[in-house]
Amino acid sequence: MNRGFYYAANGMFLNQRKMDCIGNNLTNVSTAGYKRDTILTNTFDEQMILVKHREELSGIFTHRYVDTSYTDLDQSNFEYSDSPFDVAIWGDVYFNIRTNYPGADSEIMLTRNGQWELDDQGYLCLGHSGRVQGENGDIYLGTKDFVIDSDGVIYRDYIGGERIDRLRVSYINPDADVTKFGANMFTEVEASDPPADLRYDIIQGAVERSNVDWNYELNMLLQANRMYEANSTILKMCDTLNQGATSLCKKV
Amino acid sequence: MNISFHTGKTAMIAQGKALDIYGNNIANVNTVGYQTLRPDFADCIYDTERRPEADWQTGHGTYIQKTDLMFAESFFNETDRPQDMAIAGEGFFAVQDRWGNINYTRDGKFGLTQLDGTWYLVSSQGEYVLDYDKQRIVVPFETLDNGEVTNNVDWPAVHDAVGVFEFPNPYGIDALGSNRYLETGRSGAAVACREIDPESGEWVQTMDKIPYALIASNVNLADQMVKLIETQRAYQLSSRVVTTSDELARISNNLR
Repeated sequence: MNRGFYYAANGMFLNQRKMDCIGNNLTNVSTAGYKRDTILTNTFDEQMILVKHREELSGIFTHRYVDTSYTDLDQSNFEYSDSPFDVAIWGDVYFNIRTNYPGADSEIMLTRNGQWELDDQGYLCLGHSGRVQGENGDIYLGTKDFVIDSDGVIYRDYIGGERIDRLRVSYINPDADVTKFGANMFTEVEASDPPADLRYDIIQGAVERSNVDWNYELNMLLQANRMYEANSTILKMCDTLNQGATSLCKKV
Repeated sequence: MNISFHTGKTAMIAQGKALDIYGNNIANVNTVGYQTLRPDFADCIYDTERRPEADWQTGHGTYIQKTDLMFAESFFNETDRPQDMAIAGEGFFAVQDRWGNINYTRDGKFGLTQLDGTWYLVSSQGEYVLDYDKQRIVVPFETLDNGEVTNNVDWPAVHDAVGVFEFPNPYGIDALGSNRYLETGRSGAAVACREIDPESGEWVQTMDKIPYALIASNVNLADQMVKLIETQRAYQLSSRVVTTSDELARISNNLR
């Protein structure tokens, strides 16, 4: 009957979802290694249908809906510290963590958060999430006296000293769609071993910050807010229109 | 349904806690032997919606996963008290409270106390300072050539006796307050900083102690102030998320 109602309600719903997404980005401005999300409202396929079958569809598909959330895997800047347990990555690779969550036992997940520590047994770990993985599995250190070179090789005491292990890293295509798990981690869906010609650097004594830009997100927040308001106005107008029609019917 | 309310709330809680931590760092800028703490943020769990035509994730905010102890180098303040000592390195003094528990501290503001006619070296909290064998230090007095014990404390002997310990992983210790730290499973057991010299067969101390000096707090005020301002802005932004969510709710409430 009156399609405008549904379009407007849909717009409100969409902007509510956008709001959730932007809100999550804004709240994670301090999260090390966080990658911002964007909500995509239309994909190429639907656009094609729209172009090809414009006459048949007569605008049915012109309302937008949340199609997918896309994670922006852009490199962020570093914050330097004096801790040997702070490790950052420059490039498109990710650290591997073997999680110890109930239900997700022994699953490998990826992270850019390098704020590590030692667990009770002396293994390198990321908070309560799980142990950091080297090429030979869990990395036993038991001490703070270790150095990591830009290739990710861990030595005892000094570079070129006793070789402990090498950090295992996985490559994710920056254009790929990743699934976030929470606690700064991504599930290993589209990851692979880094290609031989891929350039990346591992930096000890630095932490990668969140790649959220406050100004941009705040702008988007305001935009979502106003779009929501605009859609609600359209909804009200449709309502008024219907009201008008009803009162007209009464007169007749 | 309207999750952004709660998303904003989680960040306000987390940033508030971060403000507590940075505030505590700044408040301890003059605390002898204080080590800076740093909050480590993580994002909350994601809710994944999968449908044939849609596949998107919604986040739920942030939380503080843990705090890290930062062992940045600090500087020494020279004093005129022979009781004052500092450690040149990432070492700790061992102190024992009256229940026999051993804690560790970098605060070298020691003093003397008398118990049943014996003089002991104690920390500023009145806890016994321990030597390398984790025994209480009985203060030695200068002896004259004729064997008479004077009333002058033999300070070089005291300085020599005070034990210094190090942890395999000092980043894993727990702060206990009053400058004291607790040994944990993550830090590993404390090891006395001395070894036997293979040639002379005698104990050699491996970490330098500096008498007549105190180690300053390692809080970098400029760094902490920047963090404070940043945290304040982040707090404002999260409150902005809450007010905007409220605005959306207001709009939908005014639909009719």
